[in-house]
Amino acid sequence: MIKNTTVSTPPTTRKGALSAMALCGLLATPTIGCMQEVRCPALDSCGGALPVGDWVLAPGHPSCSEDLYVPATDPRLVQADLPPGRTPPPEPALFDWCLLLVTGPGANIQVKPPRFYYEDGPVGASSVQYDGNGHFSAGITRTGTYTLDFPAYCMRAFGAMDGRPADPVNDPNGPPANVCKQLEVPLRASGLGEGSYRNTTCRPNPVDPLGCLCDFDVTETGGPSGSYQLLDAHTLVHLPGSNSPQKVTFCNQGDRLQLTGANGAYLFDVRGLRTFDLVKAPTPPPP
Amino acid sequence: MKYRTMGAFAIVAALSAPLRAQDDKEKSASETPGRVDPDAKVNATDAPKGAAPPAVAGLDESQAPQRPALYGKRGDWFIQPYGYARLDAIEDSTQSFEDGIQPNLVARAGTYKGDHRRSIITARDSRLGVFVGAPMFEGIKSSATIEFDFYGLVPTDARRSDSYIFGPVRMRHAFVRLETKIVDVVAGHYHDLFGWGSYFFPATVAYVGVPGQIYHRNAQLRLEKKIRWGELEVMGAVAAVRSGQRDSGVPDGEAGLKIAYSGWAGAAMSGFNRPNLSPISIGVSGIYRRFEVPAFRGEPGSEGVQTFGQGIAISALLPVIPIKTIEDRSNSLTVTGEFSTGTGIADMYTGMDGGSRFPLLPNPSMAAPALQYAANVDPGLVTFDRNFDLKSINWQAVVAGIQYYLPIGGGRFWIAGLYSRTSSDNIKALTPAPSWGAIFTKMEYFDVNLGFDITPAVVLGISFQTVKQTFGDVSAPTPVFGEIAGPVLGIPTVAGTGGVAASARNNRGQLSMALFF
Repeated sequence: MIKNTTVSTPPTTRKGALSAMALCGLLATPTIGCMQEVRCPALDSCGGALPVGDWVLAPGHPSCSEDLYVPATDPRLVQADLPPGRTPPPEPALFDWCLLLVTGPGANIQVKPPRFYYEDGPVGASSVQYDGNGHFSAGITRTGTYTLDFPAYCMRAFGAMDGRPADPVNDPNGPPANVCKQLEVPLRASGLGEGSYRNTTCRPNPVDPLGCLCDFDVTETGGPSGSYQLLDAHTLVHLPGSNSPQKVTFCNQGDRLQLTGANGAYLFDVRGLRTFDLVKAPTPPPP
Repeated sequence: MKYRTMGAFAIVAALSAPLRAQDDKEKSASETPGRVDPDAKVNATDAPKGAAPPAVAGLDESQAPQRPALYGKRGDWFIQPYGYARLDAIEDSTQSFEDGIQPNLVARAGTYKGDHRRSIITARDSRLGVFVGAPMFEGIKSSATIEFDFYGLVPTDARRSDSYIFGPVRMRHAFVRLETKIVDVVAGHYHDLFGWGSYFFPATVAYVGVPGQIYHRNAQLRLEKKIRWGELEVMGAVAAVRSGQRDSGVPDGEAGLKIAYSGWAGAAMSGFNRPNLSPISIGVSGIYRRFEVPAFRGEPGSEGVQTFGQGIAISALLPVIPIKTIEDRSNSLTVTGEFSTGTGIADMYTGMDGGSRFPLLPNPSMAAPALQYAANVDPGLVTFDRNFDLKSINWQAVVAGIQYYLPIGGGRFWIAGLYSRTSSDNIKALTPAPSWGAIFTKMEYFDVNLGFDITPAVVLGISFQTVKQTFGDVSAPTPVFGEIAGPVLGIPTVAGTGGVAASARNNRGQLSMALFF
């Protein structure tokens, strides 16, 4: 039977926590710590026929990802993973307050674009396709609107200043703009250049007026493709070709498909992603 | 999982593995016959005759090699070893901690370390100390204490097995105490005055310091003065202590005032140890320190920036149901508590840093690899804020403990519980958003313990401990499934806001047994 697919409440509710602690204390005193509650319990693995067809996430049929933290890449050892002999590796560090943005006094104040960092981008759309020849493909789209926070120091310490045209390339005689609007134009171009970050807008930060907040939309799509095999009545194995095999338990009810990474594995090797609850993709109208 | 794990532990228990590890528990019962309390003052001239080292087997005393006494007779020197041998067996629900619940980050659910257990069986928390009392000299009593355990640093390339098998020695105490009519002096490596050291430690089978507990030893020069009015004792102390940052150039200053009334006393145990007859007490202590670090640039020249740290702690020990003698501690109920607040004092909480570090340097020259900031201070004390000003990190903690000795066999059975809460109100504001998931802003801990004195010296304890950390980041805002969320929602989401604060929990079961001597 198909289970209802709800994202479990993170284990932070007081009642649940107290119950869990009381249970742990009662039963497990000498030896056992009760395990943490995962956010994404496994979905049904009833098996069924091969899930041939096109499947999509639809309203009310969520994906579920664990609440992980994936730190931004430390740039200090890029392309130099090993420090020189007898030199200790750098101390662990927090990320850059400027998010790697470097501003300058020139016409284009963005000397180096920032890292478009966002955390825990939810999977807002997804499609999974299985064909009858043993091939599969998955498109997983993380979506959301996020904000970059640039402190005043990052915006101004290196020479950028208010009162210059916002778009000196296309409108060199434009009205004077603050540094946030000056940053918006190149930042928008950088986001589009990376392919996933759109509609960037910048404004002064109300709590740090000399700094800027820049909002941007994320539509980041990716996913594996390759061949698949039926491992047993309840389990598929994906063979992405460019990655290790991935086992997935499934429950195919004809118009609904539930996928869960087997044995705690991440689904489609996407970090944190545990489950998909899919429905048949609507058939496109005939041309 | 559970049956197998429980079975394994049943075997362990059957083999009588009691246990424990990492940081410590302190002072033990000076009232317990045959034991030495490193904190106790001993009149060396009262030492029992014949306390000198035993003669070598097969030789009579005149033939045994003897080092001449520095002054007085050799037999006037009081020398006594003390300590305990101990075993700890621990089962954790995550793979977050070493032996003690150090305030590392707890591995989150959904990660391998957060979803898998860890078992630790170790004897590294065994301890050996030597107390030496010198003969009185011109009205000056003097003594020395040197104490070790087996938590020394292991080489970074040592195997995990080696760290347990070899158990490198660590200095816990090494100090001289002088007692004069005017003032007493402590010189050496000993508990920090901030928090008043072992006087107010809670009873627990867990490794102390528990989260939120001020628990730190340091090299120091301390002056103490006690004044007594009958059973009331007032003690004041000041100390110059090795600084939290060696390169600050000046020692930390610590001071404290403690009031105790010995007419109202109860059984109190420091960590997993032997109880003392402890008077109702209250202590106040403070710390003040300076930090100076290079300016926040890749090449700062000789420019430095400075800030200051300070803290205050209030500690109390309240025998709710007092007793007269420690030998019969039946029905004794004692409460301990500690409140501490301060800034730049994370190291006082047993190595805590909350995950805080210095941020990456801006890289306007776009050097590759990027520039590195040459920090000269341990992490978690200070960092640079969004204006690139040096700021110290605030912490506040409360620890409350209770211990009760059942009226069975003179108090041979005891139960104890502990709750602590540690939080910072500025660590998140001092951390760039992409690193919010790497810090915790709050940590809550509690434990329950049950102990049994198999003999007056051999103790068995079991404990359940749980710690929950709340991180700086939050879970993802609920998406509109099946739709492109951004344009539809239209509400910007600042990273780390809008969702439920991310958190993780570790649960621990612990079984410990020790013989104290």
